[in-house]
Amino acid sequence: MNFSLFLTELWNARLSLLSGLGDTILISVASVVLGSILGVFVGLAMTYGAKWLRFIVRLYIDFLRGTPVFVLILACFYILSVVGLDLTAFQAGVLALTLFCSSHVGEIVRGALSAIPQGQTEAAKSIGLTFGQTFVYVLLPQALRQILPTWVNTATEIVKASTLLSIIGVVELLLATQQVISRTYLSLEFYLFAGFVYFLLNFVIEQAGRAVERRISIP
Amino acid sequence: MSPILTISGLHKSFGKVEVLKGIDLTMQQGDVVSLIGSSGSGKTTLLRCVNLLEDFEQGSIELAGQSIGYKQDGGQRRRLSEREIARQRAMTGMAFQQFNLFPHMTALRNVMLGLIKTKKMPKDEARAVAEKWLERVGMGQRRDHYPGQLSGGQQ
Repeated sequence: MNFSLFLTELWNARLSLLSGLGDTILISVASVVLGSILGVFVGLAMTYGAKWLRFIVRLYIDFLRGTPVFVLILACFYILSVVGLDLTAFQAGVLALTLFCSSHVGEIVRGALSAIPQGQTEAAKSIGLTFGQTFVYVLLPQALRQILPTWVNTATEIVKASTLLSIIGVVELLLATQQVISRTYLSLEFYLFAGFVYFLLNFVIEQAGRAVERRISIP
Repeated sequence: MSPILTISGLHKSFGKVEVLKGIDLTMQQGDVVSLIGSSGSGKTTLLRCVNLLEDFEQGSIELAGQSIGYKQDGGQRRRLSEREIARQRAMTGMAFQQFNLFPHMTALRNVMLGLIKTKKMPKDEARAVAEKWLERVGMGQRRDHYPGQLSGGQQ
């Protein structure tokens, strides 16, 4: 391993690598935010929806959770264009990760809401709160505390899954790294570097999650 | 003086098990009434019906002149809207066997929540009322503690 050569090539490739890192962050943030919003509705439908709605949402969750992310990405990119919905590779990738994230968040939300003792809802009802008020002031704050550790885990999974977007040509960090490797032949060094950056991203997410968890924990 | 609470012919079943078989009860304002009965005889179910935590199949409950939970509409018994039922629930207070305090709120905020959201009391006034009553039951020093930090008796 020629470390000084690696540093020189790293400096030369800094702009393309930073651009790839930016895309990785953008893809991850967009997918986690959109997937979480959709996932909350999925979880609510699973918990409080009518029987027919719960059946449809259960199919949605099981289908998405049972499908490899790789296949979801290919499906969003190729199948949607066949049916006339032309998405860029970036948009198709974000859509695939959003759907994947929503199925996981939906299941997490359902589990968290189901785990709250029935007495909490009854206590809220007995003081005259409506369903909306009960959800916002009683159930959601408790559910969020339970959701957080698993949600952070899902977020790190999405960061890792974002590497799969390289197969449809999205120049995120992994593809940007591979392009540098094809030019410099420093495969070991740059793959180790990319691995370290992914570790760093997920480490920051996990630490931030733990900090929030500590801050909002109930004594 | 008209009674504050009138329960007439109340029937409540869980599946095939009829728990309340035509309960009649009248209470005047200021009455203190104890319900005594063996375990599983329906004491809690009766109270839950008054607070509309349980639907009941027959009979009526009138609280301060208002029919609780249902209204007669063209000879048909109809359940009131959720909003109306929430308003009626706020007319009664209920202490649960398991307390059911909100674990993410301090003692003070537990007391304030109903006052602010149901009674539409301004926050400062609700705080004053909650502090006064917590003080009265010897919980003044504990108002900023969470339920998990309180003893069983304090809860």
